[in-house]
Amino acid sequence: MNAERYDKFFERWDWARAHGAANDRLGQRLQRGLAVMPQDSLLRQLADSRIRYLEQQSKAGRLPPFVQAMMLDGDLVLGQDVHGTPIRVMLDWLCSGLLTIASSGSGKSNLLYWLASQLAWLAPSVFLFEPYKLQSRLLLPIYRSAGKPLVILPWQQWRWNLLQCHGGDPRQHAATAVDLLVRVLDLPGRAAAILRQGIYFLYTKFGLWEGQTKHFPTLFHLYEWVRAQQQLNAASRDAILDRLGAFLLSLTPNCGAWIRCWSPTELSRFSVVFEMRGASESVRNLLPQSLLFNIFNARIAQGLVNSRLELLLIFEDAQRIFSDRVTSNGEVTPLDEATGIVRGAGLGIWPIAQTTVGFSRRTRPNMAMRIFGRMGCNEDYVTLGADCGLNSEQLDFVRHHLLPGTFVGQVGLGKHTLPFLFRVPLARLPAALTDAEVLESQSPLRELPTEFADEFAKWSPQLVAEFAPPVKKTAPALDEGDLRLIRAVVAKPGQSVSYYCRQTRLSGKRLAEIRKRLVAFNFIREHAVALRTRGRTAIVLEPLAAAEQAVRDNPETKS
Amino acid sequence: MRGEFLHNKVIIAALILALSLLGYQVLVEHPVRAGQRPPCVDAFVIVRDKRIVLEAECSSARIGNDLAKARVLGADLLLIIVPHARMRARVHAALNLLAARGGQASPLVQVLTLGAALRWVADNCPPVAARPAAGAIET
Repeated sequence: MNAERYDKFFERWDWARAHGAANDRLGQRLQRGLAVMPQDSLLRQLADSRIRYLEQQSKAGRLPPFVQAMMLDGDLVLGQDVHGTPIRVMLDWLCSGLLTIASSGSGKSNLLYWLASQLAWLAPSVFLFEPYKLQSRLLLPIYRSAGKPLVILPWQQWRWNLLQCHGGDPRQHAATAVDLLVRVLDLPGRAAAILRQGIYFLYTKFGLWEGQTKHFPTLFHLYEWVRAQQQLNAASRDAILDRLGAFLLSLTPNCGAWIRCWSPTELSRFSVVFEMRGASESVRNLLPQSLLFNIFNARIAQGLVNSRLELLLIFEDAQRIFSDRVTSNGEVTPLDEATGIVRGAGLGIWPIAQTTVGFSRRTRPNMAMRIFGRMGCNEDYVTLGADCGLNSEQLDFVRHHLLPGTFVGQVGLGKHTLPFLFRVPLARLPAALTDAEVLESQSPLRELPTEFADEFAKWSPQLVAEFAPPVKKTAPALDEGDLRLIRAVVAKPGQSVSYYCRQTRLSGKRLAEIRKRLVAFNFIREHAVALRTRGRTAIVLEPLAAAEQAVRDNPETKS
Repeated sequence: MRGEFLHNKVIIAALILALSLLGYQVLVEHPVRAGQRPPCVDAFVIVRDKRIVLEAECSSARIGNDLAKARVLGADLLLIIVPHARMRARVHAALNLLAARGGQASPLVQVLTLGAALRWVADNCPPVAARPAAGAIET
């Protein structure tokens, strides 16, 4: 009987310890004492009081059915568990990806601010993409006090060129650029072939195949090339001109007409907040994705090594970039492929989204760390509950008891892989920044070498009618018959053709040939005049300036 | 003189030459009133005490102006000389339109091609006797 009681007691004591019964000093002493003297009645009595308290809390529904996460080692503090114990994760675990899903008002931005501000004192750089808000710029004072440069970069001041190779293989880069353009601008399939052709032509013109690496064509050059090619498939050409034109119009030359722009390698030396507020949908998609690909390709080209975290990419409203639109058909996008293989390249990806609906199903499995807060639909709870391994009791608890600022986390790395509950302290944001401070934060980028394409400073996609003068025909050499007629007309203008026939002693047929040619080359002009009361109208000849010049140039030589 | 090659060098020049050879004094670019930049008729001549205004036209656009100028000058006859028969038909149509609209009384109008105008001069302008050969006077 004692043995039965012994087993149940320690079973209950283990459960209580999992819910923090031994977190304080007394609890730790109790644990040590029971380990040495498991039969001691006083120790058992003290432990039992704690166990009963927790059991009552559990019955009242106030005890979260989550095991305490014993994650006490790590550079990054995720938050505090329900007992106030900090939960730490290793910085390099972020290389395996961190996914955060929570609905509006659940504290995602607070979590972002909490973790990003810790990174100010750590080695890795941060690229933070904000599609709508201007909140992350408030990290600037924290980074400044940590002595780490943080650049606040509104999209209008980004110096961007999709066609710049950044040291990679131009052919591979061209393929990536075309794929991005076609997907983001939703161009028809044939347009991809046209764009490839255009980029090949432009790369040839700029000497990229010969190894030139200082100047690159821009999308404005590509647009003008497509516009100049009248012989292309009309439907595809129109689609490219319409959509690419609209994109370039919203992008503005100030952002996109750089024949030498900032390279991702140069940018990754700094922590940057990319503010996409006010950008069109296509700009909001294409600019970050192109940067991602450039970074991915550069890192992959360096070779996959299990390196430490060097750059953390944080995406707010991540479903627009990691979209399910393509993957729902079973396709694998290059971005999904890249997120699966950059773990060893020192890159971490942290997408933050409001829901799993529309989020890429290929990217989610590549995120080893998952955090979710209060969510808005059953599908999200079921999906993430399954991904994180929540049982029905835990799932029921999170549906009804998650408060703003409280999250469920699950880390697929390290010793503790069970889901846990944690709370993020409320971040106190500093006052708003001035425009001057934002501009000053960009000063490190302005020292980087760039070059603007001045010819596109006032670019417009509107077609303008070009009134070109008619092609001037080069005058032929004048023979004797031509000169005879010209001299006769200049000598006595305004006479009929029959008069000139007599004067020049040329036949009517010959004179008609000469007359037609001279009229075509603007030596003379014809007028129809009725010189008689009856009969056909006569043709009267008028000498023009070219005829007078021809007479001056060819003086008559009298034998 | 105002006008292009056909107007000046072919039509008007031929008529001036013909009238000059017959001894008439032809007033070229004759103003219809005093003042700065007055409107002018292409040529004005007095034949047998009849005031004749000569106007060369290559289009039917300014027929109304020609009538007005002839009226101001008190011309007895307005001769409109056109290059060919098609233009004569158009000028006739313009004159009919003007007549249908009504308005002030206009002088007698004749529309002739150049050849017909030269024949008219030959038939209706007797040579002026005992008068030295007078050239065209440009005003």
